[in-house]
Amino acid sequence: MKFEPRYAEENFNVPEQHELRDFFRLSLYLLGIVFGLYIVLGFAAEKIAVRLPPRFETAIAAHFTGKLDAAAFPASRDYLQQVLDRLVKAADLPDFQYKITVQEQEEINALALPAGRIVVFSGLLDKLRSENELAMVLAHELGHYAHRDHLRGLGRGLVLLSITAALGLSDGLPGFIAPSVQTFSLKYSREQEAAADLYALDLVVRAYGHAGGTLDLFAMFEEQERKRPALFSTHPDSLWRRQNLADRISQEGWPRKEVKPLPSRLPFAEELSPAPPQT
Amino acid sequence: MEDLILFALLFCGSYLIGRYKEKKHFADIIRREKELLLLPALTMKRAEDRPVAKAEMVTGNVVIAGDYFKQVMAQLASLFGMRIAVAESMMDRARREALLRMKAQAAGADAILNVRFESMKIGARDKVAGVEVLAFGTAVYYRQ
Repeated sequence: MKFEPRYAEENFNVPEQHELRDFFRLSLYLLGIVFGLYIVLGFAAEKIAVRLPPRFETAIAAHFTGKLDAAAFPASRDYLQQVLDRLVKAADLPDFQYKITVQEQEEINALALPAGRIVVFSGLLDKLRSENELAMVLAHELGHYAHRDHLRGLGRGLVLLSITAALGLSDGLPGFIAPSVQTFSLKYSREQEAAADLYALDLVVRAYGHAGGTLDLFAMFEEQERKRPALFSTHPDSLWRRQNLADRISQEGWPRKEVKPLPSRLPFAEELSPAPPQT
Repeated sequence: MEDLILFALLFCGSYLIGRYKEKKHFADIIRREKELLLLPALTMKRAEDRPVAKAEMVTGNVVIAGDYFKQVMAQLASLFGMRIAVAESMMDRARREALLRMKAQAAGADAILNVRFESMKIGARDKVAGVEVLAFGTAVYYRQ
């Protein structure tokens, strides 16, 4: 047998590659699948979550509300709780123990966690000027409970979390996919916020007998929005919200009487830790 | 957001660098393969019926790393059960480079017989971290 040297110019082991094209194609497939799952499962989770009996919800909630520092700002919390109790009495809400927790955080926001746990950030308290504004904030959160929004969001959040975990996306791989789904879920809450606003207005009028001070809250938001636009991305434009409510007030002919002042600036001065250096 | 920027940087950077390196390596492999074409590397145990003056084992070993781009592509492909084309080219480079190094070690021999390859994955279990390829065979020198 004779050896004949011959060089094979063509490489059959490595076919021609279109790496980037493949990458975009596969990423699109993946995004499509994730969005599809998110929409279908999110819809299902929403349907299930809204029907959760309050007792069951309380049991689930215990797992993650247990981490909150319930003892922070005791005096402010007691005062907020009084205002909240007054609103809850006037409202027709799911059967929970509605409890306030004040968290030290700059953010101007409040959250409705499952099973009636309302978290108010000290950054928001600091900006309030009357009890009516405070009542509007709390009533807004109660509106989320009345519409079961807090569970809808939770159901979707869980679905999102499970999908990303299942695909191993949390490990960084196509890390661009998780954020893009998240933006989608931010947008989702806007109509719910508007509905909660209207609910809150009704409730405050029922509890206080007039609509004074409710719009001031949104004027304050507008001002903050101009200063720090990113903070309000989950809520609809404050100007729009305020006009929505103003329309409603004039439609119903609700009076706007003198507001009830806060007992002092919130959170109460004696509870403040030494101010952090301004950045 | 930082995650996204980091991802984009790593991804684009490793794509461009990896592609450039791979191209250069392939060009180099082809040049050396042509140079060493006259030294046959065969899988047979016996080739010519001539008395053998000397026989020795020769080996060629290489380790090639898979870059970030390849890892992302491999994970994407594994979700859809496709060919991992980026790994194919990496393996091909590694095998041919190993063979060339083995041939370089056998300089002066008439042939390399009974050539075998062994390959092994290096690094984390679920990542295309790198491959090692070992080529080995028996270099024979026939009596003149």
